[in-house]
Amino acid sequence: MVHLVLSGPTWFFGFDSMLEIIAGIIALLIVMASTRYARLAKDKRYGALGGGFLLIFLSFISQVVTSFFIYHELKEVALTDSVVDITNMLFIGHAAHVLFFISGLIVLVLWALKITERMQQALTIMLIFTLTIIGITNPFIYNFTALALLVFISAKFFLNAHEQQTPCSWAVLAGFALITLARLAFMLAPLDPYWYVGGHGAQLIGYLMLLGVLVKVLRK
Amino acid sequence: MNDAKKRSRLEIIYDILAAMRDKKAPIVPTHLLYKSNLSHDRLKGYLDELIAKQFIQEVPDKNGKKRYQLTEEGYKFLQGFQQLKEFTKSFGL
Repeated sequence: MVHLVLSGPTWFFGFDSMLEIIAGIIALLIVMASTRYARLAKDKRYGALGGGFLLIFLSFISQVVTSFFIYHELKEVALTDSVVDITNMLFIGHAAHVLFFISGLIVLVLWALKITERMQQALTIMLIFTLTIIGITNPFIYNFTALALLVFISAKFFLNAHEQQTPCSWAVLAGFALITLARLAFMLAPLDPYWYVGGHGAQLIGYLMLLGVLVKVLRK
Repeated sequence: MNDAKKRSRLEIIYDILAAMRDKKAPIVPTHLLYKSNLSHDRLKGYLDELIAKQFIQEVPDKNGKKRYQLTEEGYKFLQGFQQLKEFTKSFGL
């Protein structure tokens, strides 16, 4: 007996992948911009920002590819031996998504908190990865870990926006605040599947705000 | 003096490179001191960093005195500076 647990309403299956593709493309654009400015300024900090978003992009891709295969297989087969392949695919894809996403957030947290000491970095990574390994099979732990990391990153963007007082710095803060709230909504999805829809909506708007910032930067 | 305090690291680098670009010839350190509004030690720190990043290079004049001039990388930095500055401010880099 196999249980495929969909986090959202059944009609939303497929739409969530489309929204993740859009968010993933925006994450990739941030990677490209960071790489460009890292080369221009010859500064590792830009590379760290790009590296974090590259891992987040890979997490979206692994999630979308997994969802696509599951959707495709579910249309093809009923409960046959292929179901085992689907569950394996689901686990591997989900594990890749979780590991890439948390790794991306760790890179951004190390950058945001300016943790440059090797020992401190190793300790941070070890503690968070322990939670992540548990989180692969426990969605609550995964979402809670991601939420905590996003709160730290958003706090950094709050301090920056407060200091800079520019529309773009506030937009980055608003974007990350929405991405953080989206994680909270994903945590509440087991209570009501519509939290999952709301979470995806908030996440998409958050990434669109980051896209708006990129467009503003490129117009300079 | 207050304006100098408010300048970001990136803006100071821009001012140094822009002074070299505007001069259109290798520039002497004293002229850079005046243009960049920095102390001798701070300017030296920035110049060392810019040389390490290959944004500028040292070119001795006929008398063997140090002069500095922009490299291709330095020109590229100046061209993309406005975008870089906005990106840096937006993400707090």
